[in-house]
Amino acid sequence: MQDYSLLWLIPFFPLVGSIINGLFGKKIRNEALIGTIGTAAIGASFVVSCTYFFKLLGDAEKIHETTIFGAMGSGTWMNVGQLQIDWGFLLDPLSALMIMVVTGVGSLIHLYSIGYMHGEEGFYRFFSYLNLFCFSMLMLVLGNNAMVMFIGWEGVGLCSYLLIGYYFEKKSAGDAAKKAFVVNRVGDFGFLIGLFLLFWSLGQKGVRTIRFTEIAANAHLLENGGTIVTIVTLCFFLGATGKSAQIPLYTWLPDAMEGPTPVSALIHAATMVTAGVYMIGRMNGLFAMAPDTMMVIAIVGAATAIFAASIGLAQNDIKRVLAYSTVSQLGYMFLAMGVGAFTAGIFHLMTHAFFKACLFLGSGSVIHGMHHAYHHAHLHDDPQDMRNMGGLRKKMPITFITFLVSTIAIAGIPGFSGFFSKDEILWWSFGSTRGGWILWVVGAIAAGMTAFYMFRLVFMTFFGEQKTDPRAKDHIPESGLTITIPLMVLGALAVIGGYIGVPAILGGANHIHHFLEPVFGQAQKLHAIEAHGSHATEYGLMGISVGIAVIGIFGAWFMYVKNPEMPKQLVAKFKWLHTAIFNKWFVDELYDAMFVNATKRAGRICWKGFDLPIIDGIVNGVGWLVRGFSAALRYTQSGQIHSYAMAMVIGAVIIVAAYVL
Amino acid sequence: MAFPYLTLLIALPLIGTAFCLLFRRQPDECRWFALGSTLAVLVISCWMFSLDPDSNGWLLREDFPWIPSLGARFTLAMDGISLLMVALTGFLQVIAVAISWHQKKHPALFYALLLLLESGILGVFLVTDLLLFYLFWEMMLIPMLFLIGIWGHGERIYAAVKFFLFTLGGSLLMLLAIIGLYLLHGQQSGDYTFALDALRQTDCGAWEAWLYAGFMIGFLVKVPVVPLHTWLPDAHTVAPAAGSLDLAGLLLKTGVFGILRFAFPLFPATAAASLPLIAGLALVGLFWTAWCAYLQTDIKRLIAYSSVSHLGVVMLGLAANDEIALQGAILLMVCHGLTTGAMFAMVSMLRRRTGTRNLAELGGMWNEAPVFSCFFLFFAVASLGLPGLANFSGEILVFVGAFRTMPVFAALAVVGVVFAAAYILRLVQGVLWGERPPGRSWPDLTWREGITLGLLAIGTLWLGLYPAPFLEPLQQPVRLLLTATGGLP
Repeated sequence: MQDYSLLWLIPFFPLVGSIINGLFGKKIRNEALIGTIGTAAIGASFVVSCTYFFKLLGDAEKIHETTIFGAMGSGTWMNVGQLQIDWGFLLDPLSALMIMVVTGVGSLIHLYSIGYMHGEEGFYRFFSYLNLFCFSMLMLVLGNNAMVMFIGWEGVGLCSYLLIGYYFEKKSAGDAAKKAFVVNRVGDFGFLIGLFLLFWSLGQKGVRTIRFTEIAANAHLLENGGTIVTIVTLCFFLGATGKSAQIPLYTWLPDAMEGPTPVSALIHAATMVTAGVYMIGRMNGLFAMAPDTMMVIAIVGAATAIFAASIGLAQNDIKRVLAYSTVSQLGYMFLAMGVGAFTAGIFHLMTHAFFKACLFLGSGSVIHGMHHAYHHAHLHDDPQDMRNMGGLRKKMPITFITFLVSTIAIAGIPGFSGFFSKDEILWWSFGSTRGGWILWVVGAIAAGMTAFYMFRLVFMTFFGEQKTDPRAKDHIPESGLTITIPLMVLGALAVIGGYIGVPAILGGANHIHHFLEPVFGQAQKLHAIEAHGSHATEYGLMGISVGIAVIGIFGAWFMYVKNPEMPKQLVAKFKWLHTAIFNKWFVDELYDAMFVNATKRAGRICWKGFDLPIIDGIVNGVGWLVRGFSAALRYTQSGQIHSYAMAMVIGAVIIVAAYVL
Repeated sequence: MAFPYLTLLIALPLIGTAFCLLFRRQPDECRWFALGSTLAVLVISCWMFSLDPDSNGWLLREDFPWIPSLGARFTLAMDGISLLMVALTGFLQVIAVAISWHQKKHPALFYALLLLLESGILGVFLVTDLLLFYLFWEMMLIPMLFLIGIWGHGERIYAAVKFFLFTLGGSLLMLLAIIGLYLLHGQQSGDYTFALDALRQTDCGAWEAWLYAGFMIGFLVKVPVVPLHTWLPDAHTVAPAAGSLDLAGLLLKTGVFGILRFAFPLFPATAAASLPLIAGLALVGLFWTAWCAYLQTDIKRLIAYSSVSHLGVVMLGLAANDEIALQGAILLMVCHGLTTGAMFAMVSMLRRRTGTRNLAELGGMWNEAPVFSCFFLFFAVASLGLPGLANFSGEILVFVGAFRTMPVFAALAVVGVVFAAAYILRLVQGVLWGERPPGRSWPDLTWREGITLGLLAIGTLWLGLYPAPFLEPLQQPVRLLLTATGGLP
């Protein structure tokens, strides 16, 4: 038994950093100091996380719970009628892995932001928010009960809101921020209803708890595969679709690119959007009991993967491509969760955090350079439009190399991290007892599309001839060290990160599988969730998916390097298809018409249609009558309101007394 | 005989009123009288958290003869629910005095009325004699009427008269019900009394539903529940800052409190039967006013509508007839008092700087006044129910509890939370974000404003992070109440 009582330190450091920068940042004024405080805060968390991570690796006991005051039983938040909510934390392999990703990638992105946000008026504000985000995310990950998780869940939503709206003078930023929060609230509705139903269903069996370990231990009290478990898990999944941008609640994420690029990397790629996947992993015991829900999750995940990839094919804004790519990759993670490949889902979460953070930061480096050049030439062209780029590989060699490496990783080329995690997901979606070949087909096609649009991005940005305005084209610099160091670290992780999960068939030890076994093993065993099939099948599928990816890359090369005129011809030929894809299949317009306008209409009916004319009309009529009478009776009354009141009181007494007696 | 602390609580603001009127030519002194007496109430009420309740849940009881010929007595009693309400009153009145520190127009009279109002509110929270209750109930009305009518902005006379008509109409029905109950009980037992405990034993027979309705309408107007709510946006919008704070923070709570103290315990069977109706009204109101709030361009009116929407959640908690939900509802009243009170205070600070409350003419505060903006954002997200801040603690308990007894209603109420986010964020975006209107420049908070808001913020955080000390005194009274209405499993 080892001591884990200082877990609270991990979220505590960024909270302190956030408060210091938030309160005094404006006075400090020194960017280096503000940046150091912010980065040191999350760096300290990373150090503590590492300590606990390695402690846990060497510990036979893998699940530890504490509260902010140390021992369980202290640190009450609320305690009402057998509903006991503590400020409690849980460290098990799953949360240990997550805190490593959050604090590790988080530290790099803080470092990067020092360079990227240089000269911004709200520099201190940015670091304060970013720290606050890390605090919330760590609460979400470490919470030992659903309420502490929900604090983090809403906290990251708030920080996301603030950071999307960072450039708050732009109306589009404000609108995007609001949209993100409100859409997430729809998901939160699911989370809460799921939680309530779970709480009372277990309560009927005599267990009133919201602690994850107790939920897992008592889940068997509910009927396996029954209606209640299915509804509970579906509700939780609705919550996950909001936070993790899945169909039908994905529309906020592409708009969220209004925020500064480090935010897109940290929040809208590496950490916050994976919260939904993490939550399902956290409650895997419950989800495993509901095969119907799992099927829904797998289908939604696969559908999102291919749907978002299709939109990514035609976008010209470099960050939007990455945004749809994120939605699509999150779809893979949900596909994994849905077919019971919990480990593979978390594995992909981790590798995706590496390569997608690197891609976003790389795109930020490009935008930074483009912006610098345009600024120098006094131009107002869009620094994010890939049609203005091209040939940047010579100008920004470090950015290019790291970007290319990460692109290869996401495309699923063997040897790079994305290959191992994606391949395991695809294998499970084919061979799992909860899978099916059609899921594999969809996943494999989406993988091909991924390879295509990612290499399209690389070719448009870094290859070919430079299409930047001639006045600006010679002023695009490589970014400074605070930007390139995080790129190089993440690029390296994007290559080697996959080696902790090399499957047995390729001669690996699959460390991550064994590490996460204490969290996922029991449910998988209990419900006979496993992937089976011959080695030949596994090799064959692997070959096919790699083949599809290579075809995608080749297609991108053919269209954007070999025959640069071809995309235009294709667009002209399939005009309607391009319009539909380019406009994101018109889903935003549909939602606006269905929900936003409906709310406004309802408000107008209630307010202008009922409150004002009907209720106020009656009251005004009465008031008019009273005034009429009082005018007639003016001579008998003092005209002061309190004497009316007294008269009415006395009158009422007499009336009632006369009537009852 | 023990020292009459409860009488003292009610008397302290009255003494302040008297002093303010006596020294009305020295407004500076009046201000300190007001602050002194409100602070005294707050300190005493904080000390009362250390008391232990007796078996009936009472922390303190005082009983004096009053009008022997009618059988009316001056009976005061405090249980955990009234304790919370009294403490909230004490706290918010201090804030109310602080935000009207520089009252220019008739300052002495203003503070005198503010203190008179406090006395009335404290009386309502503490009495258990029905005639005395009615006296205090009406006593709240008059100072508020003048606060709106004299110190209001815009169409203040219209709003004052409307407020008066609604609440007086409601309270007259309640008076009829009180007298009816008094006479019924007198006929049955020969003992003509207004004491709550005695009247609870009355067998009202066929009259019960009518008497219950009389009480309820009086209270529901005050809460307010749709469709009796339209006085509220007008009254809030024109009232001076301290008036809006008291209206939203305290007066609305007297309605809910009245239901808990009188309507439910007097007629438990009818009350239990009416719960689905109350829940339905609460839910309709929740959505109704949330949608209305979304459309408002006057920010004070927006917050006023949001206030009704939050009270819808409180009413749902009452109607749920569940221990967790009821405790949550009472806690939410306290939370709502702090957060909405703070919002109203901030709107008046904003108006003093910008001269407008119109969303279209506002914007860009974030660069102009960062401290103000931080507080504004803080209270805004608190009122949309961000976990870790005040409102969430109350709301989540209401939802959890209500889900046991009326799952569909509870689920719908959670949907309402989505709309809360929509209108609050519209407010934030309109005031803090966007471009500053050209040619305008606004100063940030003064120290006095900062300290006032800081106190509210500390309260909001405390209620959000560690509400346990405020929930604990509620346990016993809530259980006693639910025993009567059959809400305990």
